[in-house]
Amino acid sequence: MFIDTNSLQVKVGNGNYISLGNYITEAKYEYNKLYASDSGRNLAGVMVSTLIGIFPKITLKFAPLTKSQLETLIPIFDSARQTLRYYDPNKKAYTTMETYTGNYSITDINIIGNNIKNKEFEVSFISTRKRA
Amino acid sequence: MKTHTAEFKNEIKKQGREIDSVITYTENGATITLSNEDLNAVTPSYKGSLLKSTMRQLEIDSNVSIPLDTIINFQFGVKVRDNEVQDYRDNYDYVNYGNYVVKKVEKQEANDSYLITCYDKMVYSMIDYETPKINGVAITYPITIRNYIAAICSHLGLTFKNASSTFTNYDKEIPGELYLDSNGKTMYYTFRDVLDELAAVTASSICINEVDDELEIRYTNNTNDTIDEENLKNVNVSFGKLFGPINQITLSRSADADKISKNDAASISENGLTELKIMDNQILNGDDRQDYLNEIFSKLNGLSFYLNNYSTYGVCYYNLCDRYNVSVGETLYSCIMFNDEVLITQGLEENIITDEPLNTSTNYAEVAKEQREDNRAKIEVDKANARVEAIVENIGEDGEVTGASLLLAINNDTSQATIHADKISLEGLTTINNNFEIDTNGNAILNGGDINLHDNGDPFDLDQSTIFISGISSTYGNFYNYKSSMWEYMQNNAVNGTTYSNTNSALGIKIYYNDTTGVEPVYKGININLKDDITDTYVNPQIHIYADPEGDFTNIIPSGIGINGPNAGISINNKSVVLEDEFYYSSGDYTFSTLCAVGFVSGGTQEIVFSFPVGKSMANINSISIVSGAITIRGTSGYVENSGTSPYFSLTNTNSYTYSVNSPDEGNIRFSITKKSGTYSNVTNNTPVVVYLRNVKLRFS
Repeated sequence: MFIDTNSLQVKVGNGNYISLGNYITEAKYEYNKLYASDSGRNLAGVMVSTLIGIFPKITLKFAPLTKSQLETLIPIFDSARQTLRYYDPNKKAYTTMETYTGNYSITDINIIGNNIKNKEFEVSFISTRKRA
Repeated sequence: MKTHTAEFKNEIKKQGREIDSVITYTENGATITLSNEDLNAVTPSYKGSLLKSTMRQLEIDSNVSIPLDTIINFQFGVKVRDNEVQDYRDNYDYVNYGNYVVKKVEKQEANDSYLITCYDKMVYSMIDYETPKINGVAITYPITIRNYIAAICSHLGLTFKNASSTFTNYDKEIPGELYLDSNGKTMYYTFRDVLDELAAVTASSICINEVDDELEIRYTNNTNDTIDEENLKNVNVSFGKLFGPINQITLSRSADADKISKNDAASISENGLTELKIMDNQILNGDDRQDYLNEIFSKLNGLSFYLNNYSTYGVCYYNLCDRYNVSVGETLYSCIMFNDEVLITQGLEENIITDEPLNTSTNYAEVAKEQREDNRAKIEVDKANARVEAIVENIGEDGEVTGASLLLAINNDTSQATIHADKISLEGLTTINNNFEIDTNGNAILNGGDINLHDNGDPFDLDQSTIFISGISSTYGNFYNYKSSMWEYMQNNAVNGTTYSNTNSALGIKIYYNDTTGVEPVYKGININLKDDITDTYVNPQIHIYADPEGDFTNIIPSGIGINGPNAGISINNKSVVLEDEFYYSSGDYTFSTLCAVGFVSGGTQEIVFSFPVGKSMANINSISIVSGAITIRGTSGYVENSGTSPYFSLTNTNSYTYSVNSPDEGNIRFSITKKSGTYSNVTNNTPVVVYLRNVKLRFS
């Protein structure tokens, strides 16, 4: 839940958090349930399964960025794991989670410079563990 | 039943249940906790049965290795709350699966994880059995069942949960060591094997209690708990027949022999026979097994449960021997937990099986019931003393016992097999010690051995015993088969006047020796006195002596000497020889060196004839010829034939004379000398002359 510009922060390793609110135009929060393979129906016809957990996924739409802004963010996108801090309405609190990013692409239609920016693009941050 | 909450029971069967596994142990003084982060899969299971010991198993796929012989505890939880707590485990209700001992750790390189196999403390009983010791001191016998189990627990480092309880046959006494041989050596039992037998003796399942790790005599526990379709998967659900009610218990010894049983006849009549059989249990092999049987039957009579095989989404709180119900539709199945397997991965599945326990059909005709004691059949196996005895007996109406037995035993390093029976039959080609063989045609072959006859160590009493050979009844049997020692025996021991007869012949042989009553016999020997045993008269009896060059009576050759009855003389080569008369001449050359005879000559005749006696009978001689020799014939006035310087005639000189010789009768030889020309002169008729024979060789044939 994006409740202020600092309610979405990311860092890599022991680095400092970077507030992503300054760069995004849209944040989509997904709370995906993962079930075990034992899912099925019992003898009464009732669906039964084991919930492994809820694995949040936050998809961010970034605004056109300058060259220097991109150079700040892309190392985070390309890292193996990130730590993402976000406001979880279920927890009613800020929650951190270890994430990995999905594939992304950036489209340039001009020569990028400090004034010439790329087109909007999206990056997903997916939790590696179930939400506690 | 494992301690659990109602929430646990409800949540576990719900959509989206969340589960958790926790393993804790101590390593180097620190408590280690493994959770879902470390555990890839956990599988607790057990396979139990009525009248057996049961050992629980735990198999773990873990990212963390655990040292061997570590005692670990496993708990399984289901999320029942959603509180915001620091330790997520506070949101879970757990059931305690108890403690296990790590016995095997394998690294799985493909997964970079460890496959760890653990067992409950029943694994301590998987060692060779020895006489249990309490504080290092071996127990003594007799000992009660309860104290015996307690001693085993002490020996294994376990605590006996029922040390002060009463249970089936708890107070029966074991008279002596049953699981070691008479020398105290192993018979390859383990303590686990002994616990199995004790489970049968106590009519229970012996196991390790999940909560306190104590060895327990466990009976069926009625939980009054019911699960239903919501717990069951919609595949692999099978409820079979109702096993029971148990209404007969049968004890049998080794090889399923010597059965005794106790039953509920009314239940059998109403429900059919459902039998549990206990076979070859060392504690239940003694003569007091009927007492054990009574209590076992009392405990198990009437027990029934549904056989089943079904998969669930997880129940997880039933223990071994818990009785519970499964509601499926309109049917309520009463079941007992004996076999369980819980597969915990990301999901949860539990498989439960209840098979038919030990049960064999019994032919009533083979069972010796208490009221049928006139016939007994049993096989007693005494492993400790390496002894097996099979006995069959029948007590007749007159109380006479008819029986047969076979005993196999080892005494002082000597093996022994003893058969007692009124009639023992061996059929087929029978070989004894590879030396004596009797084939199916009755031929007996003794290869290289002797047949020795003796009378309790004394010489065989030929007067009192009979040897039957080839149908001939004879005190000495067939004479052709006797050995020289028999003659020696006869010569030295024959009873005066005893007749030894060949029943196939009219002839008999009477043995006697000179025996004057009260006087030492002058001689002992064998005089053969031939007598017809039937007519008691002499009927031209004969004895012929035969030669036996092979010495085995296979090529008996007449030796040519025969005795032809009394006064009949001796025959030689079938020619009679009169022993008391003169001997007979036989064929051959005989030289008469000097014989003198009287002949008669008449003047004008050409022949001189004279005879002389030869001392033996010529009855066997058919012809006589002159081989050589000379004759001198002297008249009263000198030589009858004056031949000058040679006053004698060569009998082989046939130029002037012819000679002939014959035997006019059995005792004489007669010569006839005939001049070829001329006649004798200077003699009157029948003038006697003296004839001298000089080295005359005659040939008799």
